Amino acid sequence: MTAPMIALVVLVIAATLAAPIAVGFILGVDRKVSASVQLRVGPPLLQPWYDLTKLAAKASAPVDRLAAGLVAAQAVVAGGALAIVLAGGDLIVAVLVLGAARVLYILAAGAVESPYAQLGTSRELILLLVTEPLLLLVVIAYGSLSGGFSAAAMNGGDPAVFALPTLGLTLGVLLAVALRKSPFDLATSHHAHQELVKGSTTELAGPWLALAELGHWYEAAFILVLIALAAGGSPILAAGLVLATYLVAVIVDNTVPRGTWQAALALGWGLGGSAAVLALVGSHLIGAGGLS
Amino acid sequence: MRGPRDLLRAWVARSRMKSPWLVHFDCGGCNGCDIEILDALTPRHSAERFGVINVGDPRQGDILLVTGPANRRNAHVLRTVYEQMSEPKAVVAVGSCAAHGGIFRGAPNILGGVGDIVPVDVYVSSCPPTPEKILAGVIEAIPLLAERRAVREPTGGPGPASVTAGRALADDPRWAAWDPRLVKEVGDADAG
Repeated sequence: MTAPMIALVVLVIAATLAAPIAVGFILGVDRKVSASVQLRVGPPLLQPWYDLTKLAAKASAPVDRLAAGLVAAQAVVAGGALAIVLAGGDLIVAVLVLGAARVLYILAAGAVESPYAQLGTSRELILLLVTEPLLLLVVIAYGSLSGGFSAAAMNGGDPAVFALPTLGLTLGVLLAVALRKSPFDLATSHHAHQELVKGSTTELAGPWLALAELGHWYEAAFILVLIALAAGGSPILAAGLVLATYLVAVIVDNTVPRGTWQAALALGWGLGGSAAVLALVGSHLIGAGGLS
Repeated sequence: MRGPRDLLRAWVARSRMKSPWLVHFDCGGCNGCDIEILDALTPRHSAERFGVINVGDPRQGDILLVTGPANRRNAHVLRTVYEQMSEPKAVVAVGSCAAHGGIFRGAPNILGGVGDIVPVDVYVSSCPPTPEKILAGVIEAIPLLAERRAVREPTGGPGPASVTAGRALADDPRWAAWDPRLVKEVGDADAG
């Protein structure tokens, strides 16, 4: 390996390890903003980090061995999906690897006998049904605009946000799902207004719950990076896009705090899906045409 | 000069104290305390500013909030819920019933306060306590979460008998969270 390649590998590993730090901070701001919308003071800004550290440092409670192994695997695989994008790799591969992480998570939830966990399993499957086709549509639209599926080409090309503005809606839906806040009956986030029993994480405790949480953070980081890619390499535009999309997700979560999974399916496919199809048509008309 | 190990330890202790997740168990009182606990979690009192979340799984909780008197029917359930929680953990007994059986004391199915079943760290007085008092009880228990503690035996609880016996309240740490007015009322009722 040449020196620049080694430097790149080190950089990608460092960025992948640092990504959760940034996501924890963003989630802290999110909880603060949501709390103020609900006329509460809200937790400290570092609350997501306090929660994660506390869980990791808890005396380990007995957890189903298969579920524990699968949860650990999903955190690693989700981190891998993010690393692929950060390394400028193939977006389709990254999306499929992220899908694999989510399947591992679903298997972990289904590995235990608790009826709550079983219910969580089937609900997670519904969420997968909402997001996986949308993720692929977004990546295909990106790809047909820049003429290839590599994240590096996407980052160096024209900003996709101007060519395909409707993709913002699709990515907003994807972010809302990745944050695990809406719909409320699928929620596993730690916002104060959400379900007591979190379905898929019912049987997890201590460090294993921390790993499930870390996997979710990686998933959120993946979607945020996907949003930032639409800026075509401009950091300021990327930050603006992430902020704007996140704001939409927070507003949606607080205006429909009791939206159900049926609503998520209808809204996800109806709004997010048609926005993605529009973007796909647009990208074929104005794109590089590399895929046609 | 503190080394990285000390800094990590301090960060972990801080995280444990900033993230007290509640497990709420009702032994079977009148539900007055349970409603006040839910009140304490509403936006008005905003328990989330202390990092408090109400969780449904004992294994994910840090502070066990117990209401109602210990009774023959579910004493073992209370014990199981307590044992399923992993260290560091603390127990807050909410209301008169959880302290000594309250209005149910002396009934054939009642064992007494929950202190006879699990080691209680903080007693919150009144029948029912206000949400502010419950939050104060939880905050009282938070420093106990900083470190893992040794296995503790049930402590027993403050009972009406010990009040009428004229026990020195200031000497007993279990009374620290008690409202002296209530103690007097309980004592008077028993004396009369």
